[in-house]
Amino acid sequence: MTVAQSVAAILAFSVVLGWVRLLLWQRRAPASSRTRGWRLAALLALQPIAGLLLYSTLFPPASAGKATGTLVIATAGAPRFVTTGAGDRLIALPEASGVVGAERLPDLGTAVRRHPDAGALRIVGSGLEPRDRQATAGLAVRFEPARAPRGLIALQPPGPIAAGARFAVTARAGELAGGSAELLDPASRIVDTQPIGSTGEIALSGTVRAAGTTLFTLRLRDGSRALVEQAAVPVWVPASPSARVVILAGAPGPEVKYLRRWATDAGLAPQVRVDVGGGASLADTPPALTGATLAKVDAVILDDRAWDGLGAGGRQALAAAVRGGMGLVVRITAPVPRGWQVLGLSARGTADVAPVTLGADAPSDDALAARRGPGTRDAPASIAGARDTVPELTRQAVTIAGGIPVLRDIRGTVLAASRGSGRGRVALVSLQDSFALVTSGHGDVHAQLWSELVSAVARRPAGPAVQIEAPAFAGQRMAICGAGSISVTDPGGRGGRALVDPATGAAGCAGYWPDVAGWHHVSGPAARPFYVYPADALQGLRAVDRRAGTLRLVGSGGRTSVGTVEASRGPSWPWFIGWLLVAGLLWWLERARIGRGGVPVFERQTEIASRDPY
Amino acid sequence: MTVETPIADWARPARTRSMRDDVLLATPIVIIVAALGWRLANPATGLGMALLGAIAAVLIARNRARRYDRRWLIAAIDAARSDVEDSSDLLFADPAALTPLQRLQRARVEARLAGEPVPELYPARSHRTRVALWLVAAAVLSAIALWPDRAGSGGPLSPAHEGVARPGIPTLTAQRLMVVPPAYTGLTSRALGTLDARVPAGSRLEWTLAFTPDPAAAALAVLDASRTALAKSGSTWTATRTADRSLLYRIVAAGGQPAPPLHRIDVVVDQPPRIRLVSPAATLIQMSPGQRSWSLSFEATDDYGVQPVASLRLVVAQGEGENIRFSERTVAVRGTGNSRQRIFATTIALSGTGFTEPGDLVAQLTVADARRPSPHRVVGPSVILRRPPASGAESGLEAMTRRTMPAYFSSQRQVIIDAETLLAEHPRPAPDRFLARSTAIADDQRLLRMRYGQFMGEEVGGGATNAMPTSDAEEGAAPPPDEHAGEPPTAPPQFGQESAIVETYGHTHDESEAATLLDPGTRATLRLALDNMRQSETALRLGDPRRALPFAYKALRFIKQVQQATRIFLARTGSQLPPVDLARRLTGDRSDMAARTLGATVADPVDATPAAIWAALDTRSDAGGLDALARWLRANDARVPDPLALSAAIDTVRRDPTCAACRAKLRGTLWSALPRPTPGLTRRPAGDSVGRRYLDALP
Repeated sequence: MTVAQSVAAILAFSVVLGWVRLLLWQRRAPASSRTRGWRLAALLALQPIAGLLLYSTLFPPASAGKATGTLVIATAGAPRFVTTGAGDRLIALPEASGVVGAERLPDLGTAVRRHPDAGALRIVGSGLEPRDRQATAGLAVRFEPARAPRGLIALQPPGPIAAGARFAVTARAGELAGGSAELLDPASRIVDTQPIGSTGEIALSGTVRAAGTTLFTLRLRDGSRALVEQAAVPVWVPASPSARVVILAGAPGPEVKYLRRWATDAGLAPQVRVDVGGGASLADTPPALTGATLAKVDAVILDDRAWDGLGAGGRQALAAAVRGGMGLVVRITAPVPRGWQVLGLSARGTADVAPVTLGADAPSDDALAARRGPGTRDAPASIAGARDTVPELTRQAVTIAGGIPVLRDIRGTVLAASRGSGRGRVALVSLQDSFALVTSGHGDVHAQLWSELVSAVARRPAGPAVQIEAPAFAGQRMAICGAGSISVTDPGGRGGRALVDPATGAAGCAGYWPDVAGWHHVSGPAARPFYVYPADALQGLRAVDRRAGTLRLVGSGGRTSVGTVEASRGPSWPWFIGWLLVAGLLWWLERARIGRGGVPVFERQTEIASRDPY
Repeated sequence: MTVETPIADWARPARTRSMRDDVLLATPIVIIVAALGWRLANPATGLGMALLGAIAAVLIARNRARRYDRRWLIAAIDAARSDVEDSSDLLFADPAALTPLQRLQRARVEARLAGEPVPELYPARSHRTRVALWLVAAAVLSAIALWPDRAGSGGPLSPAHEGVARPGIPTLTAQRLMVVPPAYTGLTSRALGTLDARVPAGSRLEWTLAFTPDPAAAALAVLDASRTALAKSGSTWTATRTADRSLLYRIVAAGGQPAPPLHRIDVVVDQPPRIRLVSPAATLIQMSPGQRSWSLSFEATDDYGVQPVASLRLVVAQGEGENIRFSERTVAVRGTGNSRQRIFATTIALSGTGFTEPGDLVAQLTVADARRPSPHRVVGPSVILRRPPASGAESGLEAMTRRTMPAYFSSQRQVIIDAETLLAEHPRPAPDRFLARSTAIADDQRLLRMRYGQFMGEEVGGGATNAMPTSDAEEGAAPPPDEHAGEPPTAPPQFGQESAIVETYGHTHDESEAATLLDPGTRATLRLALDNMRQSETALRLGDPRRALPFAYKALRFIKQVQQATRIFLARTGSQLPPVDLARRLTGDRSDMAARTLGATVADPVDATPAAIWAALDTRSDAGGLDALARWLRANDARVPDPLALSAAIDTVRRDPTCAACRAKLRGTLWSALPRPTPGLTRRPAGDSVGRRYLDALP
């Protein structure tokens, strides 16, 4: 029950009380002083009127009823000539250019204040800027959304990515079916291309280098290969934090050898133990599988033999560590017994092995060379395998149930799946000979495969984090949410503090208005950079954003949407004066001598009179 | 005397005309010299030379005109007028010193001269010389005027676009780059309107530049290297350089703009020729029976040209087992077709190569391109013509074995055949002839025995030769030379070399190498064969082939055994496992088994310099980063895909550190030189406390 309803109920109860009192008075009053019929009727009628007026004073109704004209608001993308009806006023906001016969105003709030008599808004063009969306209060809004623009209409840049890893860019293109999308690295070499289908969905990938910020470029081309749009894709590679993995294997073999080599090269400080039978093992520093040591480990990679050989205590320690946030990857290297499962992830299947063909990332040899880079002394580019020589691998023919897929082959067969367990995750992988990728010159694919698999389960970072809405544009407010105070340095080196809005509560969000494009840096414990697009970038995407925001304002609906935004209260003083008059009239009528002692209505009129002080 | 004045007047016209003639003669020479100066140097030089020439001409003319003095005048008058009776000298003599007679004569002469005007005294020179000289001068002048510039084949200069021309600041206004490729490339020289070019390696580059206004000096500054000063010739500035490596440079004028744009010369390196085998289709050809010749055809391609004559190396390797002989010779092959793509085809007559036995004939073509001074020589693929051995081809296990002994054993069979033929001969020959033929067979048997004796380490002797006992025609072996005659004098013994004592004072008759060739079983069998051969030989020498035959057969059987036994099986190279400790085997003792450490697998560290600089370039203040990057680039330019582009980007940022676009371009260029690190862990989003509580609450 809202306040208004409570007040209405109290008032209604008071009215009923007043009526009862009046009637009781009338009955008890002596006949001489009994009220005449018309006076009683007036007293009875004025009670609810006073109640109504009091309610209206407290909760004045919206003033919509008195609105007369319509404001036609030309926004970005409005045509030059806008048809207006009689009594309509044409207002052009700053984003609209060249609208004929329009009054130019800086924002919608100004327009509404200048024209208080307007009762409705008609939005022409692509929609209202975020700035103007709160100024439509109390007005009926009509919006005729235009078709989605041609070009880039959605872009999801990658989040923080490990040095050397592969990242994915997803986007959507409007009206470009039959065209193509390509991703260019900072050296302007194509690293990925993709034809655009009817849905316009685009998923491209590239590889990064060392830590730092960089800009890739997304290009959209139409069916005739003409450039339609070009957008920067910001990529941030944070300095790699220290990580620790533990690798356990039930037997030595090339797979664990190259796994160890990958972990060493990637700076993961692997602790390896390989059992060689008879209680003997090979290890550099034998890992202790206790709760305290596992709390410092980010991920444990072991094979099914090692898992079975851990014993119940070891498995319990690992399960507890996974619940505490650690990642666990179990390699299936042999046929699994019936009912075999690891922390809720089960695998069942035959004793066979099945071939695995991994999908190729690079669309061409040049793109592959650009993704691989110039090579190192250990792995020079000259000995790298050609694009079409990725060897066929094998996997244990098992189906992993109970998890979400992490790794698929070219036919969509799930090679690895993961499942959450407490704060951590566990993954099963059925790939058996990924080392063949290294020995055939595709070490990059091997490292990428294991990097993505282990990243999917590894421990989450513990420190504070800053959430920044993307994409951000120069000259447009953005929100930075994070713990503690937030200070931002812009590309010109100017620093500034963003004040946290206490109303956002635990999220701790602050508004920030970037005024220059480029990489900004949030400093503090959760330091991170973010990219601000130039004010005129990604026009199609912003038009779609405006359209969606305006449609939300109007409410869901079809092509033409009409709605009334939650009514704002009108002025309460007229109702108060009315209530004062009615209350005064009531008071006067109750006290006045006119209309008394008339036609007896009740028997005991005298009694009332005797009690009446007047 | 009234005659004084006319006499002076008589000489003046001659002087004047002499000077006029001389000046007329000298003028064309002076003009030509001045024109040369103007053309080769500049107009001021031409003007100066004209002035000097004119002064010189006038001086010379005046000198020459002095010849027309009194003496000349007297002689001329005397020569011109006979009526002065050789007495005109009297006219110029002092009258006071004259004798009366002379005075009288003088008066007469005066009167005669006065009476009749003196004729033209000056000998008119020939016009021909003058006209010819003027004609030649005109031709030379036109040649000087029309002769093309030294670098003038490129025509006019192209306008340059290097910054905005401002008054008083020298700016490059016109340019031409002449590229003269090396002669061997066969490319014509070309003039470019730009200062950027891709040129063949070794090309001569000639810049012709023009500035407005002319600077005091100008140079061609190669980035991170030397400067080449520009030479001024006329209104243009020139420089010459040989393109031996790719370079970045800028044209710097003294007092001009501080950072003119960079230009780039890319050098296209001469590629070595490529050889492709056209026919036969495969590199290993089995020889067909009765084949007498072998046709080969190669195609050689090169970017500029292949030399017309290539050499074909023919290697004949024939024989079996260890007894393979090589012979090698080289024949020249002349190619057909254009110089960039030549076909070298030849037909080898097999009879001329000496390729008669089973074996291989290997042919290999070597071509050279036209590069100077050091042509690329490329050896093509080996093509093999194989004459298969008479028996079945070796395969499988057979291929792993080596025959230690050549197949010489047919001769024992021949001895038996000869002996049986002799016995079967009908009618039986005369006894002495029979004995002679039997002895001949005995000689064969002896040769064979000696030959096998060598394998046993026996001394070759007793009339045996080193000739192979395959040919039965070797009758009458040569007498053995002195065994010790040909031995080189032995070196003086050294302390500690006991074996040298034998060599010094004794004489070994066994060949140690041959003696150890066979295993003991084979040696025994061979010994038996030799014994039987000796028995056979003895019987044959006594003229009794019938008694010799059983020994001969036995010998043959033993030799066959030896032949089948003497195969050496070569072990494959493989893992060397530690020996099994048999004392501990199967005892269950695991006392000293322990965990072992794994070997380190750390990769070569990746050079972090470019990555660090790349990250540092993101910020605005990094003066040291560029220097470090330039140093790194100098040391690692082989690993960078396009070092020149990176150098140019570094230079641009260094000159304008505030240019954000230049910085982005440098980072982009450096990106392609950054090695990709091995990907580690990408951290998942951290999540907030609410999410953690939710996860903890899940079962």
